[in-house]
Amino acid sequence: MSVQSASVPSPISMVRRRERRTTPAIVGIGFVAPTVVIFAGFVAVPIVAVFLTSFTRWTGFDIGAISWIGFQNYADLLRDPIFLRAFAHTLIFTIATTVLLNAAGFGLALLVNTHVPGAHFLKAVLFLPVLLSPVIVGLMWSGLLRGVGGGLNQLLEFAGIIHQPVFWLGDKRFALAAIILATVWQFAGYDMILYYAGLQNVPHNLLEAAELDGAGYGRKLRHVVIPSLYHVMSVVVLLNVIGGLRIFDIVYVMTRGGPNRSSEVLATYMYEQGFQLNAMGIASAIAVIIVLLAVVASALRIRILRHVD
Amino acid sequence: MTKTKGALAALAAAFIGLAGISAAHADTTLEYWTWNNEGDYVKVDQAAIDRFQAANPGVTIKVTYTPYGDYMTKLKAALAAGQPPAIFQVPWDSGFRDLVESGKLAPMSSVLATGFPAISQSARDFVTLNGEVWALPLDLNTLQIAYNEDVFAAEGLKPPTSADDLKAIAAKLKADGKFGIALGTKDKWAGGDAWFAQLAYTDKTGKLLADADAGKADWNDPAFVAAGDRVADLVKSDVFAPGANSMGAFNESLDLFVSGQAAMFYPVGNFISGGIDDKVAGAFKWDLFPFPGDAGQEATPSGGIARMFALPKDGANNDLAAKFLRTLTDKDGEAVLIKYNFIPSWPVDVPADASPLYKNFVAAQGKARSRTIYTPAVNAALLDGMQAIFDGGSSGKELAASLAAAAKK
Repeated sequence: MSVQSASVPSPISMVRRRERRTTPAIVGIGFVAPTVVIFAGFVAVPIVAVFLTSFTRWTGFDIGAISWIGFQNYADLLRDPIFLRAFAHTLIFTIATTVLLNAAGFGLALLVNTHVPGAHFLKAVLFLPVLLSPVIVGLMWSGLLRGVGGGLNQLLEFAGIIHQPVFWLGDKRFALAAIILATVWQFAGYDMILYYAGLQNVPHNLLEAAELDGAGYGRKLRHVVIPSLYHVMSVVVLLNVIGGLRIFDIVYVMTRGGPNRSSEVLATYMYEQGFQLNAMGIASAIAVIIVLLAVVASALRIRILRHVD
Repeated sequence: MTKTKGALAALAAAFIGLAGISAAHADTTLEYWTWNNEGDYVKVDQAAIDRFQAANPGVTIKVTYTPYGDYMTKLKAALAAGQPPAIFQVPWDSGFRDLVESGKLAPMSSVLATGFPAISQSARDFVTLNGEVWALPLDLNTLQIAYNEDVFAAEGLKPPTSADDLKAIAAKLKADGKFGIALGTKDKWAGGDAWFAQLAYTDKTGKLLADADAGKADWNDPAFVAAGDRVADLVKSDVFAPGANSMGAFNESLDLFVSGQAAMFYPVGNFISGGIDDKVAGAFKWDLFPFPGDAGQEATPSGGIARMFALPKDGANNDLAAKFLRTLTDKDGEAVLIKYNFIPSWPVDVPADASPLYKNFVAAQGKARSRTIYTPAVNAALLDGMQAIFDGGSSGKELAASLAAAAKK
């Protein structure tokens, strides 16, 4: 009996072993399930729905009145001069903000990393705009850039630089640039924090070795600091690019995409098509294009990083 | 055990009985959606709600205000989900056609035939598409130019009777460091109204807009071109305060007028007159005149429906909802509308003690020309084109061409 017990596992021990195998799996599924359900319900299904809607003509009122039109919406967009302008503006906005945000963010990170007195305070102050809603920032800058009574014009008039009010947001030459400026002002602190975190991980031994070799600040920056930040930089650039491609709120508040479409971007045009002109198919096609652009940017980042590594 | 079961059964029976009693007297709630939560519209609504609820015990009107920017999104979602509000405001612009064509609105001809005042034919035409009436037009508006009477008096100016007069006034004001008409086209729609105001003079028939919108006339018609050119000429002549495209219609541009920097403000209907009074707060006197045409042309303002309400197709409570609309438009409802300076969409006797401003609105309404394009793409092209004209880089011909191109989409 005792020999049998030792060589043949009892039914109870088999059940326990099976329980040990299955319990963690059930618990794991239980933990993951809410996230999966929420992701599926609020992310995956809407993405698929938008993708499918982009091949339809639909006013958004009655799902029964939807009609499948294949690639017609995409073909129409390629012939639509407003879409092409919005596309160009989005690219300009994305490139400009990405370059300026990275330059400002990196520069500010170097500044607050010097441990000069007040660096912590400076860090907090520079990060403060990030905490504001883009709508608030848009309203604030709209006030600052007002033609009559705006802060900037008053300053320029006081300095004798202008003698007539400049309507920054109502002038097609300045509208997009003004939005870029406001965006950089708001998010430079965000890039600064990411770069600052990256700077904490720059190997000190490399910096010391470079110093022993007689490298000055510029050489250390170029040959040690920047190469050490490639991964951080790639993430920051990608975040800026994706943020730039889907920019909406600050544009909507400051210019509504005007004057005469001079600051129209893809997201504002998508909003107009979907919610003002009731062209849900066209709006969905624009959304798909924005997503595709973000995917391309992400793929490029991976390729570039592989090359760098 | 048996006693306990019996007690539970009795309790359950009592509960079911109570539930049944309360179900028999269940309150009915009518959802009422509107975006007008500003000014005196709230008072008009509340007065009607109070009277309706008093006359219909057990029925509650639940008002939901949604900002206009989000209103259509919310309404579309509710209609698509098959859970529309019982009564809802509908837009007067191109969105109305889409709503009608969605098949989600209840036909209103038979509803309006009983217990409603005789809606004026022009207002009825406005809400009629494909031979059916789709909404109740509650009140009307007329757009005119507000002017600062104190500034005009100080400058020795009188309200203009022609476009040339208006240009001369603007030149005089500019020479004295003041702006002419403050008009904000950042949110676009007011630019469209500047064009509609000119079209009232360039279209002698008064029908061209509706015909072109219905595909029966060409958007390149000389009357449309001339309307754009007239606005371009006024822009070039500094009739408008600079920077129109950077100003919201009722924000920055109204501030210019209220602050006294601009001597005139457009567009002003009865829907904003209370707001102007509040902002001016007695700092100066102001009055209205219609956008002038050429010398010798009769002053013709533009106007349209201010608020209109629809019911959902096959709505479970459409009879009750129609009853509420009747409350809004009965004699007491009419008195409340007039009290707050709104113009009912049916003929009314203007009280002798009505304000001069109200009498002005009502008199102008009789001559008002339409300010609506139902085709969404054409309407969008008009608003963009007007921004281009206010930017100084476009003409009536270019504008008309863009309208024609949009109509072909």
